Amino acid sequence: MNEKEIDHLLTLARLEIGGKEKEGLIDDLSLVLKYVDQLLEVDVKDIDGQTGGTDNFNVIRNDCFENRGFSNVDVKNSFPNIDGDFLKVPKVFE
Amino acid sequence: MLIKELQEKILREEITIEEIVAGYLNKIKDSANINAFISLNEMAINEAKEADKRIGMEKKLKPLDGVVFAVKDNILVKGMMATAGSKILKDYSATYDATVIKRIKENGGIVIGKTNMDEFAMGSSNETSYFGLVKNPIDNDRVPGGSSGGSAASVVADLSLVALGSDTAGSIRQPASFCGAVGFKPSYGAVSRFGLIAMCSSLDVIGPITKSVEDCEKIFEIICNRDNYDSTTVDVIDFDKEFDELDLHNITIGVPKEYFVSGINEEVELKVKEFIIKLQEKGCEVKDISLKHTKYSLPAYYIIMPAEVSSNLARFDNVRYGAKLDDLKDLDIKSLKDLYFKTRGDGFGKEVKRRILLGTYVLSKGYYDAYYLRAQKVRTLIRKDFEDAFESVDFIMTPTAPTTAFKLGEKSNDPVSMYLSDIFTVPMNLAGVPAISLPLCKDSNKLPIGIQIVGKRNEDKKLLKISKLFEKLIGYKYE
Repeated sequence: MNEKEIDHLLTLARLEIGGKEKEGLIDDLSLVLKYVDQLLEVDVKDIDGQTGGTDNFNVIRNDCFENRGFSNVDVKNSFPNIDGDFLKVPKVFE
Repeated sequence: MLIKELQEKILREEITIEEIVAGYLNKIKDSANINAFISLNEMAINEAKEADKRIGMEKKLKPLDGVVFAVKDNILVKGMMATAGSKILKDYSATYDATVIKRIKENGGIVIGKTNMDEFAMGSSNETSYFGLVKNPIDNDRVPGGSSGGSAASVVADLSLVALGSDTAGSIRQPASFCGAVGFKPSYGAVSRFGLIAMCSSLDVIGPITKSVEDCEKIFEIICNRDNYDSTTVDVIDFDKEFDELDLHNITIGVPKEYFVSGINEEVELKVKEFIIKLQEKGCEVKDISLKHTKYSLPAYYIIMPAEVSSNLARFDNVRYGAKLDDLKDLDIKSLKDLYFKTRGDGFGKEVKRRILLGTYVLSKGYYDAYYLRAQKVRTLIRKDFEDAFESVDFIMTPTAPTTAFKLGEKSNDPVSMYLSDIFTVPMNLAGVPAISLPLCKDSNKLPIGIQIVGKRNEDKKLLKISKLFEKLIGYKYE
């Protein structure tokens, strides 16, 4: 893994990190990727991959309003930055 | 003391729940150096008083009356902090109870505090928490294991009667093994994840940590089975037969050769094998089996888990969860983009960032097939290994971890070495099968060794019943 690839991943993951931390990460990620390369040894021909942890089928219901018992007030109070009933964020455009 | 004994004392009016809770709060204060807790329940004494009042009038107990829980800080308890051991959630307070908490409270259980944990459940030593590391109560120079280190430490140090943890690759079983407690990972889907801060949604399971299998059973009875708020939940198979020694003649234990390889601590291997021989002498059939894809479990996990982590942690962008803008002045946030990039860069620890980036990589264009898709196929093979094994054995027995508790700081600079602590526990998460760690004995350094028993998927109750018998035969002495 090189710096260009890490920078691309950092953009995708919405993470900003400094120079020294970045170096450490390049080394660590390279180590882990080398470790997981073992999977190339396995014959996976004709094997269906799992798509999750459950054997259940997804639950489908009508798209209608249900009272789930959450308090609007509690949820709003848990937001870090609010303005009345709205979430406050910095401006989108620089 | 077991739940049963404690409840008998309450009914005989020898102790009140208020006294029980006050006792734990004092002990927690005296054991601050272990750092098992991130926050305490300020309402615990009041809740205890209410319970005493109700019991005084009704003269009977709910199933979990008197039972004081320490709850891992990634499980939501309404009105209490829910930090997941992270800076990015350090000010977050839960707005609802997780289903497991709702069920525990309805049955009389009291939450005394939220326990310390590896950040976002990523770790095997409880050294990555923003709130500082946790010390093993048995030996304060050593790790308690992770990521439910605070929960395991709380039970072993008697700071709560029982605890709840979460297990994605061994995070209940391994700390239980390192601290000397019973740690149970139910089948995937057996316990609702509604209200669990998600790490890896297809592997995460909530489970109890206790000092007895009977107490594990009592808690599991309350928290298990379908929940409409979590569509991955299932009803586990009912099983109420109590096993005794005579039943051992009708039981076959599988011992997988892949779990007794070089790298495992000699005493751990010896003690586990000694117990297996003891079972054989008492009439159990013991069969050598092969779970042939075992060695690929950890590599598969380190592709699947970071992929899901990168998705689950995308929500932490300081919009709905995070710090006030006034408190972020030193990050110099000028735009929405800055808000995302800088608060995530600052708010997540090193290990979390490592895994988010790994996950982003394996899901990205050009790598998805080679890594993620392949890992999910290997996962199918691992699951099949267990299914095939259970055609000829009733239970599988292995060491819980390759070593006993290692020293603080010993593995924190080598990620892969740290990851290898989970080598015996992660396959069970990938296969979705139930597994329990029982404290077996102490080694020559007086450190606990854990033995792991694995059952067939959804046969959690049968696994708990047989584990009660094994526990009796082990006769582990808690200090």
